[in-house]
Amino acid sequence: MSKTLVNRLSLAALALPGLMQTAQAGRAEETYNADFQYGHYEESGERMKVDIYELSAAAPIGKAFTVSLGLIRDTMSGASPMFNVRDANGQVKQQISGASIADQRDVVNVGLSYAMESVTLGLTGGISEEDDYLSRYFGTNISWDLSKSTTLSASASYAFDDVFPTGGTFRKSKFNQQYLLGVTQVIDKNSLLQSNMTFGYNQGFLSDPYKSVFVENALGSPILADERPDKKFQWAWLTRYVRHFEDLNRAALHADYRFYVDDWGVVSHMAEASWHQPIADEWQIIPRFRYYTQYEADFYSAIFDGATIGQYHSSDYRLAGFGTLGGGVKLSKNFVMSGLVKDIKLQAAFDYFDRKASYQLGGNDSGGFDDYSFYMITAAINVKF
Amino acid sequence: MKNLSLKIIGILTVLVSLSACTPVKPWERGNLALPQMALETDAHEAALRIHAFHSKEGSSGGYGGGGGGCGCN
Amino acid sequence: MKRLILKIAILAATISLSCSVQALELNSAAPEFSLPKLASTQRGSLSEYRGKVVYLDYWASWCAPCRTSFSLLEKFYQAKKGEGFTIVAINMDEDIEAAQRFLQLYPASFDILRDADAKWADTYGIETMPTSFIIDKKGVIRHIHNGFVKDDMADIEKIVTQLLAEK
Repeated sequence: MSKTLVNRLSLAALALPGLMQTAQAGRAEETYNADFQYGHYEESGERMKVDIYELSAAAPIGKAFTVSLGLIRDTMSGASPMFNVRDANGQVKQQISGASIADQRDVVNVGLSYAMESVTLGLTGGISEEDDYLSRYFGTNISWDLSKSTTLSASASYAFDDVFPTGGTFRKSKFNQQYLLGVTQVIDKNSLLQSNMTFGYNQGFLSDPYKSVFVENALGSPILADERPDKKFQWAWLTRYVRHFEDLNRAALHADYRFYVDDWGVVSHMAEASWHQPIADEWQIIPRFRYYTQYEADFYSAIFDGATIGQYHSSDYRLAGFGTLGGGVKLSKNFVMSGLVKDIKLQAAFDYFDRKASYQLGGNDSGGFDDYSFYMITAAINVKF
Repeated sequence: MKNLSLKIIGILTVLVSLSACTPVKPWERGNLALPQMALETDAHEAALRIHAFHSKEGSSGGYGGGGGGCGCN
Repeated sequence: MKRLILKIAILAATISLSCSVQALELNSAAPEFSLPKLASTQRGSLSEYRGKVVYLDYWASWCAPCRTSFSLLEKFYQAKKGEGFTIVAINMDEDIEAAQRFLQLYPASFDILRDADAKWADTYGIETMPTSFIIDKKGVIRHIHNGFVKDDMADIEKIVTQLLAEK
């Protein structure tokens, strides 16, 4: 087993729900880590705005244990689409909620990992709390070095969620499971490949309590609540490739592709690429790009007709057919030292995305009524000692 | 068809064994150890981005772990 | 069809088996290397250190545990060098500047040699970075350790003290 830091997620990643898959088993650097990250997400047209604050820390214990802790606070405000209607010209338009939603989400998560010769075991768990939503989750993962070049990983995650919408009268629950199987292969001294499959199964109240559908030629009320099946099975396959370019000042190319399908009829493809370019003196500039395309859920429709509406119906723009295209750039600077503090890393990034029905692979003539754009800013500091 | 599948499996098996055979020597892993070569160069930012995309799209998975849900609108 | 599968399986197994690394055995004689020093034109060879207890460390600038080990090993070297103990660190960096930058951050007064074409690393059956060998006064390998964590120093001190007491 190599204890060198080869393509390993930072220890602090253990504080993140489930993001612990490593390219190689064994404990990463024997350092104490402290991180602070700020994020801002904002949609066009006065829709949603979120500010995210995250504090995390990780510490090695003894020869083989690592413990980590993460705290997150999201504050969200803005309006949200409720359903779609036809305007005076017969064009479909979104009906956005009038009042501004304000919500706060608090998350605490903990992680523990144990590194052996060629196997690493990990446990994580946490709680996420909002005014109208509570999630309790835990997971376990294992990483096994089959050889110096091949690592297998497997994980199981579970979440027990309660939904109790503001202004509503109910409290319903759902139970999510996800299983991952993955392999990471060192191809040569300059490249590696990781491929993971995840199987997910959700049960319980899976509808959106704040969304409705509009029914034309309705027999009864023209506005019905969003109604989705109480089960969902999903399958995703992600492949990630990393390649080193020694001559280009040690740059690295990252390219990812993910295929997704579920039994609600949603099929999606995602392609991401980023170029990590070291420039003078421990600076790196990282441009990145992402394209996502999705085919609509079986029971999705912008507007329904009373004659054909089925048991399940949703006009949620997130289940529609669309594509998202965009990218951005990140800048990072490392200060390497040899005292008590070994390393300080500063990072900042900006990304902009356009979500459009017409960006769907193969085209989509549903019109741009639910199109919007969004941008994200992140800034972070990481200290290793 | 069956012949072709078996040929493919055969080639893959040999390739995998060969890749175990021309392994990267432990002391040749310098390039792979570079921070920009990590599969996830910034786990916290990745988690934030994945969460943002997952809240606004109909897909999730592939990255390992379900984590906590949210009532994201 | 079945024969084809069998042939493929045997081929795969043979290839995998023939590619396993041969690690050195405990209590065998340490291979007598001769390598150039990092900082001068001199050479260093294992035979020079016969009669001393030697901590032989294969390292590289990019190996994270090496950052932990170097400062601890330097302290240990200063404490025990008068008793017939020495450390020899063999650097495996392809790029000598990377090794020099590392040594500026983590200075070492013990001998640093360079095995740029990995000839001796292969002979010593190195499987991880770092790998260390504790060699007794007669040139016999008495301990092999893969990787390094802070807590390993206690074990190293114990073994070295025990070997120094031997005739």
